[in-house]
Amino acid sequence: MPRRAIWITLMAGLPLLLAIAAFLLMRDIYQPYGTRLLNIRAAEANEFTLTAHTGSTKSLSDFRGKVVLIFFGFVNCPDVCPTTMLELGSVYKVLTPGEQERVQVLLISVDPERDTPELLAKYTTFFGPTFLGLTGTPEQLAEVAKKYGVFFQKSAIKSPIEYNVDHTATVFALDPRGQLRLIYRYGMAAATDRMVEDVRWLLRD
Amino acid sequence: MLIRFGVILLLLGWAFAQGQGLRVENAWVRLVPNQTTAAYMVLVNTGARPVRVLGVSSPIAARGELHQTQFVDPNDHLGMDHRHSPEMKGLEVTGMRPVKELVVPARGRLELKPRGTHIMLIDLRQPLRQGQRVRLVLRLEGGRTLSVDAVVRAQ
Ligand SMILES: [Cu+2]
Repeated sequence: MPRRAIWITLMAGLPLLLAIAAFLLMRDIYQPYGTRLLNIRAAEANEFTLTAHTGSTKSLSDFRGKVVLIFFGFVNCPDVCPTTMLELGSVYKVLTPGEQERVQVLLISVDPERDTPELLAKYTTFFGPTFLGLTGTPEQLAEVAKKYGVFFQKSAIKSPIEYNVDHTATVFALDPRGQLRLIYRYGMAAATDRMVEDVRWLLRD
Repeated sequence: MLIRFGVILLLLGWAFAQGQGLRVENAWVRLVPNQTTAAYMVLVNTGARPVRVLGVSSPIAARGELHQTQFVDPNDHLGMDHRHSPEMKGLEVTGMRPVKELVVPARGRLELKPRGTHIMLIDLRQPLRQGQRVRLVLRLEGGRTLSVDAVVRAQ
């Protein structure tokens, strides 16, 4: 009788064990599409507090438990910004409702003078219903940009309200613990399926 | 004989007026919720000479401009945070620059596409609607124009 019990345990347990081992192995050998940050810095190094398009103050730490995708851009940018925001919208649409609840896309304005919360709200939610636009004082935004290695500067200035803004076109992915994990260089967000895989990987983490 | 010659001249003149074999394919305007957007298309030149596009206008916008998205070298980027890990250094900075003209090579094509050359439509007069047809008028060298029918797409 005990021998039979051992036998049954083995029969049932072995495949389960193998499955767990395979899962752990798969998780470890997953090669993210985004560029991995090898030295993961402390969450505090990524922290910021800005004004959301809803008017309320938001900090990165408010999104703990979620994968956060950050893009720096501005409303009057007709090519690179909407292209990237549409790509992030495509990623978001592929996710299940449960996953969507654990993903936050943030657009941080590099044009605080023209991007009012009202404009940002209309613009950001067009690409995804839960997407959030953030703005602040020029000093606040410069500080956030510096933390993320982001550059921005006015160009082709025609008048105080007519100009362009050159800016870093990177998408930053942070894990649910607020750690910066993956970087998508210019144009990489176009590969929706690979982006979705990465987001799911970060959600599992 | 003279009449036949005259007809040929007329036909040639007509072909010339039609933009010397410049054709536009797949013209579209991006649906956005704000006042500035971009138009994209493929310009096809079947003629034996390059065709230059010098400007653009549209009844839907106060102004149209020819633009090129390009990489910008941020010289003062050196002032950035040096504690960044190597993966975070040298990230691409992009900007748009107005261009004087678009040149469609002889028997060639020029593609206007996202993250590349585009037509910028500034100060839209009315909010765009998906599927809406938009007229764009390309101003070519020699005072000729080419009318383009573009579709508004959420793409
Ligand atoms: Cu432009």
